[in-house]
Order: sequence, then structure tokens, then C-alpha cells
Amino acid sequence: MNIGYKLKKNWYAFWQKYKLGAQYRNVRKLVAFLIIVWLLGSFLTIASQWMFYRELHHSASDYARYFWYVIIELVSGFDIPSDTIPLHIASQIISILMLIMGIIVVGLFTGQIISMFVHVMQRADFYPEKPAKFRFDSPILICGINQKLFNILSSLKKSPLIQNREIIIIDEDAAKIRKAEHDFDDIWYINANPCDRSVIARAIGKKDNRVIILSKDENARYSGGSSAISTALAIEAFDEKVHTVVEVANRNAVEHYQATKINECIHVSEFSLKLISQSALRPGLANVFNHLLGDKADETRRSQIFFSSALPSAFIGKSYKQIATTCAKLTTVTDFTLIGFSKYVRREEIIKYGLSTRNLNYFTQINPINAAGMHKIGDCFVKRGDKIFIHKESKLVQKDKLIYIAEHPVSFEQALGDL
Amino acid sequence: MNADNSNANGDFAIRDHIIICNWSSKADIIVRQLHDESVQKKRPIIVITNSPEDMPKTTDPAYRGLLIISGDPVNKEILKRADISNASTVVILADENDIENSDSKSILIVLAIEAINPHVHIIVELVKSNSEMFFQYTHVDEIVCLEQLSEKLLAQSALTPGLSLVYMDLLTQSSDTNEVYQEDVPQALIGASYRKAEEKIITIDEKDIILIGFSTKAEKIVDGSSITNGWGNKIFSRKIVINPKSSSKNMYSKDYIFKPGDTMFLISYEQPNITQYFEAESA
Repeated sequence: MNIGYKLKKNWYAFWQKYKLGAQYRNVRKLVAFLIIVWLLGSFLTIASQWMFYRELHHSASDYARYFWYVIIELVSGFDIPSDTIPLHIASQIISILMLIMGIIVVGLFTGQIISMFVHVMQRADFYPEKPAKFRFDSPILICGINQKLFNILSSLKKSPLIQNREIIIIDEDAAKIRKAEHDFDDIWYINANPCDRSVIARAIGKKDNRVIILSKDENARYSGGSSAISTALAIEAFDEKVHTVVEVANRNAVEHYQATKINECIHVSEFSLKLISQSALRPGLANVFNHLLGDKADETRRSQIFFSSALPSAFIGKSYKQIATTCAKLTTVTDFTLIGFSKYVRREEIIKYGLSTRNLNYFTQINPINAAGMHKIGDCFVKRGDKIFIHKESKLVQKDKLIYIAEHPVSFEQALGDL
Repeated sequence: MNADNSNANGDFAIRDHIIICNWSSKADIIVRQLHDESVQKKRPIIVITNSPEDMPKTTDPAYRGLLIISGDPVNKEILKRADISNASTVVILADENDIENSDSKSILIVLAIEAINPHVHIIVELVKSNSEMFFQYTHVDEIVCLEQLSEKLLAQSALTPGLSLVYMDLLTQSSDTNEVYQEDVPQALIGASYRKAEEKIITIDEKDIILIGFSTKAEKIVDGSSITNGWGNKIFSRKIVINPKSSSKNMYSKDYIFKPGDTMFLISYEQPNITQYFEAESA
């Protein structure tokens, strides 16, 4: 990561976390007030002395001294030393006013400084607010808050894929979020409604943005989560390229999302029920999926499913079958199990073959099939029944991604070198 | 364990069936998955519910072989009527009518089942992840926690675009999608290493199969020590190893030697019946 970017972000994290901007503005107002009172008091004293005791002052510097005396009056409460220069009654009245103003100004200053200390101590438990003028590189936006938030933050932060991504929580109650038991860095908030397009514009990063939309409605189980739908539409309207994952609480709402360009709708209840069914048919399966998705106890040392970021140059132009054979040899130098690949498909191909890709531009195929004796469509696809599959003889191109099970993302180039 | 096996004959006198405790509209997905066309051996399903009136009145083929017992699944007599002694699997769903106390109710159902048939395979749907610890001292075989599952899926899908589609593919029971199958290690591979099995399976051309891991019987360990149930018996569970490490330093690495009773996890479009590919070799 760029050092300048990191330093700037850390500075903002410190500045925003303690709301130093607001504190600074308060102090600035007080200083301005002090300067005005000081200049006014000084000029009035000079004017009264010039009018009534002109003969006692021999030069401009004698008058300039009143600036010093008045500021001393204001900040410490000491009167102008009248034994060296006598004060006229008008100047004495001004001095009294300055002393009273001094009490007010010093009181305000003291209060402000104490408030700053109290504020800094209170803000230690909160995340910093996302600065309006600083654009993050590739953040993950979490729109909406529900009881799952902290565990999602924990999962994200513990994942080897998080890298340097910032996490921004957007919600009207986001400012009230206190840190969980784990003090994760690089989590920010925007205290606003995520359905608002200007809020999305403020949060969105330079590239490769990811968005998680949580069902915020307490009764979303029954209502379908209208706020989540509004947020999804706002993001879609802002930028179609943003990868959006929506938590769908109500099965009936799934069809609404399917009409949008949202990438992944997770109807968790359906997942859990399918998992239960699979386990009832094949005992032990829930444990396999719990393992892949991560037990709480062993979060960092578990296998999970990864997609490779780019296809290694040695695999470009090779068939999946050839790659699978090479990968079987690679497992002697690194720990992974190849389970499929995700094929980059152009829009024309999606339309031509009627592929269901949920706007990802990738057709995901777990366990590509043996196409022997089947009718091939194009270079990569075969049709079995009504469904289209990718076959094992498909040749992979640079944009394709391998899908594998591993504990950490695998560096295929390095593994091939080691082999 | 002293299992109460008296009055083992239930209302329907069936064996190897699946019992679903608590019915909700969501359970329709389970019934359809269990009775999908691609399932070779369809098992009868008995639903135990307090509100049988909520069950759909349908002629759908998926609902063929579905039997209903009206009553509270916490009640042992009701469980006996469902032939729990002869059941293969019990699915305890979260009670949607009392979602706050659903996990507590599930524990009571588990205890009632254990008293009758401690060997039946039990799957529990949990609502709150905090409740999981209460099930550690029971014979529950599998726990599916809705809250935990959603958190993990949402987080992982944000980091790995397309991941939810992979899981949906693996979890959907149909002949067009992959499922994860668990099969006994073929006799020919007993005494062979996981690595060797992996090399052999990759050469099978007749069926699309991927070996992803194995499981073996091991004592259930909690906080570093083995645990016992209320009767002082050690609780055994299956140690699941997905994507074993290549390093032989690890006990459960790719050099792990298969023992009788071990099972393999395979990704396939249909029941792999892996043994058939090794029969000729062993003969």
C-alpha cells in the first residue's frame, strides 16, 4: 500500500475518531472571541488614556503597552499597574469590563479543554467517522445494522482475503456503535441513511467496491426488509459494477432482488434448510459446511473456498483437465484441493447461451463435467437436460479463476516454481 | 446408557425414517430436498408438530410418504409414537411460534430423544449462536446455526464474489448440481494413504468426482479434554478433515492411512458409489 495513503488515512483515523475537527472549531471560535475582546479592550483603553491623560504618554510605545496589559487582564485577572501609569476612570471601567470578560473567556477555555479530555476518553470506544473529503481505495461497505454486525466484522477482519480493505458501516445509528471485544482497525462509519445516493457517493471507494446490505427492519423476517431493497436500488443506480451482497430475510423478497442487478442475494433461511436436508440425507454434511464456513473456535485454522485472483500464466490455454492433473502434483508443495473454476463470459455469450451469472460476468462451475458423448455448445459448454455446464476440456483464459479449498489463498505461480 | 426402549412400536411401524420436529412454512424446502427426484433411496418422513393445521394440503409428489403426528415433540410418548427407536435421523427445527425460547425447547427435545434412542442421528437448527455450548454435552450430531451461517456467508461472499453460488450449488439437491457425499472408504483403500486415494480418484473418467476430505472416529474434545455425558460415558464424534495438509507432521495430513470405519467426503453430481471403481482392483 502507498505509504502516503496509509499515513493520510491514519491521520484521518486519529482526527475523526476523537472528533478533533469539532473540538478545533470550538477552540477557534473561542480564540477569535478572545482576540476581538482583547483588541476592543485595548483600543478603548488607549482611546480613553489618549483623551484624558495624553500628557503622561510620550510615545506610541507607551500606548502599545496597553495591549499587553489588557491581555494580562483577560487571561489572568491582574489589573493594569496604575502605580506606573495612572488610569482614568473611563479606563478603569474598561479594565473592570475586561476582568469580567476574562472570567468568562478563561471559564470557557477551561471548560473546552476539560471537554476535550472527556471527549477523547469517551471516543476511545468508538470507530472514526469516514472523512468526507478522503476517498478510500477499495472499501467494504456495510449498509444497515443488525445483531449480526459484530460477527460479520470479526469474520471479515480474520479472513486472509481482507488485505487492506477499509470497512465502512453506514446507518443512521452508526455513530452509536461501540467497538466489540476485539479492537479492529480500519473500521469507519457514516451516520446517515444508506438509501441516500449522496451517502453512497461519499462512501464509495476508487475501485473494486464491495457492499453488504443487512436487513435492518426488526420485523424483516415478515416484511421482506424494505430498507434493504431501497439501499440495494440506490447502490445499483449509483454504480452497477459494485459487488453487492444482500441479506434477504423473507423468501418472498428474493424475487424482488432477482429483478435488480444485485450480485448475490443470501436468503439464509434457505441455506440453513438446504444444509439441514443435506445432513438428513447424508449424515455429517452440516459439519463439513460448518467447517468450510468457519467454526467460531477455530476461525484462523480452517479450510475455506477461494477463487484465485488471476490465472497463472502456465495454465493459460490449458484445459481444466490438464490443470487438475497439474494441481494434483502441486499438492505436494502446497495445501489445496481444486474443485472447479469460474469462467469469464462476455455479455454476448451470456445472452447467446442463456447463462445465469447474476451480473458477475463469470459462470461458476464446480466439478466440470466429462463431455464425452455430449452435445457441445461453443468451446466450453455442454447441455445436459435444460442446464448448461462447463466441461473438463474447456480451455482456460487469463480472466478465468480457479476455485479451490485451502486455508489461505494459494500463490500458484510460486507453487509451480517450487514444483 | 439406559435407553428407554419400551413401547418401541409407534403409530406407523416403519424403520429408517426421518423425523422432523416442529413444522414451519420453511420446512417445505426440507421435504422437497429429501424427496427430490435425484435422491435414490427416499425415506419416509414423520412430522411432529403442535399445529398440524399449518401443514399444506397438497398432492405434490414430494409430500408422498409424509406422515404427521400431532403433539409436542418434547413429550416422550409423542416421540415413541413416531417410532423414534427405529428412526435414522431426527431434524429439530427452530419453533417459529416461540423463536425466543426455541433453542431451549430444542435442548429439551434432544434430551427426550436421547432417553429413548441415543444412537439416532440428530440435527438441530439453532437460532442463536450462543446456545451452541449447551449442546456440547449432548449427543447432537450436527448443529446448523442460522445466525452463524448468515454472518459467515455474508462476510465471505463480500470477499469472494460468487461464493454464495458455490455454496448454493453444493447445498441444492438435484441431478444438475453438485452435492457433498460421505461414503465409506473402499476396502481396497484401507491401509492406503489419503494421497494415494486422491491420485486414484482423479483418474476416474466414468463419473465426475472430487475427493475433498475424510472423517474418522475420535473422542469429542472440548477445551483440550475429552467429555462424558450424564451417564459418565465418553462421547465420541467424527473428526472431519477437509483439504488435509501435505505436511506429514500433522496427524491428519495427506499421508493419513485409512482405517476401517473411516469415510471420505466427495463432491459429485450423484451418489458416487466409489467402491465400484476399486472392486476390480481389489479382486
